[in-house]
Amino acid sequence: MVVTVLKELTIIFSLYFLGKYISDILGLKHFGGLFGMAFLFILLHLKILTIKSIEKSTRFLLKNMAFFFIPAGVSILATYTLLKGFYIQSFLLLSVTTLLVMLTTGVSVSYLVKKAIRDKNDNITYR
Amino acid sequence: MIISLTDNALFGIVLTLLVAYGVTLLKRHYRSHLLNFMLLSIFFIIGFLLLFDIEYSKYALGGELILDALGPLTVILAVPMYENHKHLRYYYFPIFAGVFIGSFVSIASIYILSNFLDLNTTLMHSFLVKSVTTPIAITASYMVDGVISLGVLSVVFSGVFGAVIASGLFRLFGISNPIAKGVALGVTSHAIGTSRAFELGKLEGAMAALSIVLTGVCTIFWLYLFF
Repeated sequence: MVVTVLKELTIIFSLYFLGKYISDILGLKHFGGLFGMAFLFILLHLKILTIKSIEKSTRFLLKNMAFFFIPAGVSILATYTLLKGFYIQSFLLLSVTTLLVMLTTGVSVSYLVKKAIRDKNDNITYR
Repeated sequence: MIISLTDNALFGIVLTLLVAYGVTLLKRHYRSHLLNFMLLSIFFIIGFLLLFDIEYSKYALGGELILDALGPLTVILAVPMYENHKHLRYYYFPIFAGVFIGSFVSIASIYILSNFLDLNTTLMHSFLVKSVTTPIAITASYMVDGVISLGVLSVVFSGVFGAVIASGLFRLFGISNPIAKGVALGVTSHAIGTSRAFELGKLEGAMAALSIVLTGVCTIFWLYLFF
């Protein structure tokens, strides 16, 4: 058990290390995690790594991910003055845009899926 | 010599763990979408700091150590993406197009509406990341010089609000396709929307899980292009 988790964390942190190194070379600060994610996806896709080889720590971290971002929210204590006088506008902005995004995404995917199914059926009929 | 308890970085870590544990117990009792884990934890920690008159900088000593997990957490986001990408094969165009459109509408609507509501640039830039999952949102926030705490709060807001309105909105506009529902929830409300999507069905959930990372990457792309 201990050995498994150590192996898994070695894999995850090495990929992050590599990602961070490459993002620093490219001059893209803070992109290390995203590069690491791309590497992990590629390694999984090429079947060099399996989900099983990082399963235990990944499940744990994914399940408890929200915990790690609590401090980012608490830092509103240092920045809330920025919101002063903009409370209602911010609330309005966030609710309206959330509604709009969900609606446009839902409607466009709905339409495109229907179209994809229709096209597939057309191909079958005409062949 | 008297040493204050709060001068230790472990103060922030223990307080966060304690509150998070307490909120988990609370959530187990009252199951509701409105009881968001992150929002409640943030609320209780802020309450504690204000109540005992502890400076934020004391909490930040430990808080920043916790935030350092950001990198490895972003890396493992590849796992849900990989696990669900077999669904992509059949409907890759509708899904990609949906994510592309959704993340664009998010940024465009925030930009336009901010100008309309006379919001300043700092706030607008902070809110641009609102549809993105938190680890990627923090990266995006650095990218557009947003305020990270405001960005994170807007992310939680989109998550909770989207999860609450989803069913009503789908019914009202006749969106019945499980793929459309899943992608819409994932694009708008990231992880919180995904847990809501899994309640609607397995395919909905898988679609939402897939959309989370795609939305993150796509938003980064749009932000890179426009800001």
